[in-house]
Amino acid sequence: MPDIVLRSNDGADHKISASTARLSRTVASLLQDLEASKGEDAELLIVPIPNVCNCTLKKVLDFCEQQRAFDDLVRASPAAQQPEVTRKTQAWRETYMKVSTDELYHLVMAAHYLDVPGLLGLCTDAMADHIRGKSPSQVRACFGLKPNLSPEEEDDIRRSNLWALS
Amino acid sequence: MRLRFKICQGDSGSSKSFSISLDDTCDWQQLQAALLIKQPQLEGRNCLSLNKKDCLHAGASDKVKSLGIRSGDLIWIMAQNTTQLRDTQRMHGNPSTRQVQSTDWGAGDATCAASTGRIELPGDLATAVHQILLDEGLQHMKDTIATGQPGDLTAGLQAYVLPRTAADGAHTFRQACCTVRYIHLGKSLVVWAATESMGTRSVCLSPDAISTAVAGSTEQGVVLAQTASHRIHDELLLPVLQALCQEEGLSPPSSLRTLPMEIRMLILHSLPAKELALLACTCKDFKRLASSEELWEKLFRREFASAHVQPQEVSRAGWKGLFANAWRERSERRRHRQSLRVPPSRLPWPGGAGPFASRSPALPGIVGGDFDRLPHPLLNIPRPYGRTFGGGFPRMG
Repeated sequence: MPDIVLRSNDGADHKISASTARLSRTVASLLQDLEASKGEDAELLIVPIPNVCNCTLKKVLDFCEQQRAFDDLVRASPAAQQPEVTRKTQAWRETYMKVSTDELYHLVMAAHYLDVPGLLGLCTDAMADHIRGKSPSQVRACFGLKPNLSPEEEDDIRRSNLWALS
Repeated sequence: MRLRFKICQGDSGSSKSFSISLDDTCDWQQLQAALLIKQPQLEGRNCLSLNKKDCLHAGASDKVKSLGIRSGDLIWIMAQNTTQLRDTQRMHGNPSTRQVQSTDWGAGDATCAASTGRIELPGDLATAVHQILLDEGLQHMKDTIATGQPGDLTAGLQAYVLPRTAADGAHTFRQACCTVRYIHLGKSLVVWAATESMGTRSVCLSPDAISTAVAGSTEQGVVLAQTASHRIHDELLLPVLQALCQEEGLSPPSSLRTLPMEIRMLILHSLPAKELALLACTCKDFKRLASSEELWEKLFRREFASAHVQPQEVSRAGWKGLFANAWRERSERRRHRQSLRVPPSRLPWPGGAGPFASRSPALPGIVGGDFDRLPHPLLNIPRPYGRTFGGGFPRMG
């Protein structure tokens, strides 16, 4: 398959193979439209991605490439080596997800917009990890939430969630 | 756009209809002028209404589109006196608690009436949307452009602003403001919101947006169904919040709040039950999200897979209530079992010594035999699960 160029909203180009880009369902449908209008013989397709900035797009493409390599590896390797491959991918994903809350936010929005199935799940899990193990006041401080519950409501919630607080 | 008009002749029943073609961007004044050219006899008494009940209020330069009028709409032209009558009637009823008997509406509403027992007027929808906006930290400016009676949200424009902190209130000369208009369209409600930088956005809510029978809920007033509140949040509130923050020069709202509802639900789906219950204590928004029945049903089925649940139990307590009960019972059971377990120091033969080597100090008077392994009757520990069979061993673990 020929290479294509993805252009982020700040004008940076990323050249990748079309099969990798197709991991994003949004890009896949955009490509279909572009190919239909330009014909097969167009030399280099440029797909604008208006909602994603350069560094986030790079991060998303990293994931796509890794995912692609992983899929190939699974297909090529014998059944006995499968757990090894899975373990390696797990480790790679763990380091991949070591990002700040802000980056994670941009990443999750990009994954949602580009519709990359595996990435969205990974991001929401990471978001959940940011919440996990924090008390309500810590969550509020971490995400800048305003405590807008009235005292009666707070009392009521505390009572109905007593099982979790004890 | 092409609009159809019908003249409402009071109780006589005869009505005359005609239609007018207008420019898409035409304003209220142009609409009135076009109407007068077509029907000169209407001079001075043309009060327009979309639902034959509520008059459309608008300034001369307001765009027709911003009133929720679309191409193909049927607009009633009402005599001025009948509207006044309606308005005085409305003034006596409290708009937030208005309810009508199902007989007031046509036969088509019978199903709706049967499911809820009552029908909510769009005014109640407006109250619910208003409440969501307030919950999200917007402030309602009470004495602004509103032209109708105080307390009636659907009359005139409502203005919302970001709350000011004491520090930046000192040098205020102009505050970014979002104007919201609630318009009745039959039994539906159209909410239009506009800010300077964002332009206009609208969401249309049908009467079934009001959630029916909220199980185990203690909330007062009208509550929107989940899908409806998600739509209000994503399509109306988020853009408004972002635009207002931008206009005021503030940093955008925090990351967790600006995520679309779909993603937020995904995040909540990957949280364990205990974290979810704690998250509900943070703010109103998460309280609403984290009490989603769908979420708790999934958690319940995962955590207590073997439990059988009767449908009536679900409708009575809701999945969240069921989960809390099951959890409480389980921890009770665990604690009970813990109390039955004889601590290792009390075992009659510690560390390889024979059964008669040492006397247990906690259980005086009994030496050896099976008696040692049972809890002492004087310690008042209940027997596990009624009678024990066999050698009288308490069930461990």
